[in-house]
Amino acid sequence: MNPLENTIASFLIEKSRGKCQKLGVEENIDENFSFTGSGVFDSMDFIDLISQVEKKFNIEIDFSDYEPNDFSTIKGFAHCAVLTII
Amino acid sequence: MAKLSGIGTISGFLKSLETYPGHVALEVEDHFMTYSQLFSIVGKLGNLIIKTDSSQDNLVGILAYRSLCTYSGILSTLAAGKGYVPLNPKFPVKRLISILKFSNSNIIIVGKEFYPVINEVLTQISYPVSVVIPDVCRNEYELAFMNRHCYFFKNDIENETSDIQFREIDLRKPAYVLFTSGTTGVPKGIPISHFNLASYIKFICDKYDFNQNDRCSQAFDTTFDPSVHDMFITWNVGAALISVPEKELIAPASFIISKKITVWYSVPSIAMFMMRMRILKPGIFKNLRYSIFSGEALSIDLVELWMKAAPDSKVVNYYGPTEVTINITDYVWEHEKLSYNGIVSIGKVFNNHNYRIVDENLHPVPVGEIGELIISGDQVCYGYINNPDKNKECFVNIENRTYYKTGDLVKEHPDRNILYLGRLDHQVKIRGYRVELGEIEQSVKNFTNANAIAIAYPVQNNVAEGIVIFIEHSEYMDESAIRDHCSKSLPEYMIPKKYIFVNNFPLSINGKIDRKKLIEIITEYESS
Repeated sequence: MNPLENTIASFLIEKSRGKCQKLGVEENIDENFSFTGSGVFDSMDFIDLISQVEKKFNIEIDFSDYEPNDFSTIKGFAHCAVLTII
Repeated sequence: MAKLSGIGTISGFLKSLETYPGHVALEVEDHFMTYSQLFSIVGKLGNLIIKTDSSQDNLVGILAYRSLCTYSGILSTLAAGKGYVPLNPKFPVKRLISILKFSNSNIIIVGKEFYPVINEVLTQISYPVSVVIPDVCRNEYELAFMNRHCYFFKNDIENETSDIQFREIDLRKPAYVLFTSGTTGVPKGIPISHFNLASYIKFICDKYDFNQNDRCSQAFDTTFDPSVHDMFITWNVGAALISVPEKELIAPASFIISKKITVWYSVPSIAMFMMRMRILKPGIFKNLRYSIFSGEALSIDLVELWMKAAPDSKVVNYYGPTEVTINITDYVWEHEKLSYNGIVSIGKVFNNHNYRIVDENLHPVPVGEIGELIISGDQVCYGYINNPDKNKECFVNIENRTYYKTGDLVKEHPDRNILYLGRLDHQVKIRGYRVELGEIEQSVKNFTNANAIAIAYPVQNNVAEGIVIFIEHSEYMDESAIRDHCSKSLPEYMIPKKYIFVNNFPLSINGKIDRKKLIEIITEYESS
């Protein structure tokens, strides 16, 4: 992972842990955590997360070259985010 | 007089089976099945259902989700001459039980998606139920059996013949029953008869050129009635139904492309997700012939972007409450461009139905004036199950016709296209003044260029104390400037008391903006 990818992943982990805490759900959140099927994030939460990452890192993420499987995990999301700005 | 007996909703599938037995009928979970392959499963399961209970009166609960079991379960139920009640694994167990009990479902078909909760559900159903589990054999079933229930497995189904004897049934009986949350907390059961559904299918198939070469999406949960359109319009014309896996719903662009979908149907929110993710690029959806949206307001901005992404596609905006069978108006964007406040018209009421736009005394309002849309005709259901009070409130007799009061505020354009303005029940009274929440939302939208939802809060004894406005915007916005704008554009009693900024509006499982969740946010906001 390049440094920005790592930073974005850490940000996503932090946000995901916060969401779990708010919902009272115990989840082991690491970079392999999947947003889909976890019951923690719905579609709107996911879009919200994209907005937060874009705002925090001042980037515009373009997901058009990726399939949902590519960005459904924290690691994949961070990777796609970095590739779109390179 | 229309025919009131026959084999029912399954007839469209059977017609396609006869004409196109080798065509793909269903693609689900990376498998595809032709009409004849699917029918061999449907026949066997249908025969098992008939053996278990041949009456038309009891319903079959479908506890399955986006799987072969879901579609074969629904088709088998209809082949057996019965009606189905779809359930959703996203519902709390309490709600699943409440629906099963309320609908008197004495047969339930259980897909693997429901295994984690099925024992909890069955434990709390005190009357005997036939539990059909098509995906596993008896000796593979690892959960506890309950003595009062009767269990059937894959091997029991395989022992049946697929040669099913279709029966003449009463077409006024339900093909399906959907439940919406009732104001009292008791689910409101909406039965849609085979007769209602036949009228819808005929109208749509006569009007639109869906055909056997189409590949139609199935993106809606079965607990939301556009799923019925997906299934039965597709199977009526001999086309392929492509079930969209849940993980794809967040951004189904690559799915639409790779599966060569020709007819896409979803709530506008899904298109909006793709717009926000910058996925809707010009020309990406080359195969789409139809892009259909319903369930919530469709904005012009979204349609225009979608049209660029799907240049050969007609965009259709449908509207219809569940009580009038899926959809009752349609607007094809290709032909005209009628909108109101940036929202696409819902079009004209299907021409085989009667409608009126009325005031609170049920008197027609002049063309162009705001009123409630009421509808009469073959698609209107006969009333809620065991709910005489609600039936009296929502179904009215005018000149010997039964009209369903939609509760939706509309106004009619001189060319008879209808513009949707909002819910009648979003109308509130503040200090005696009648307030239309939509008007407040529009005022804020005009100023901020962002979506806004107004909530009357707090409400006690049907009297609202004030308005809270939610604004969908991720960047900083100057609250005092918005308040200043509102004070200039709205009467004093309509100016929101609180302004809450959210990155995105929460959605219900049907993809509509979840107003209850917004109220929870206000409560949290108040207590923090």
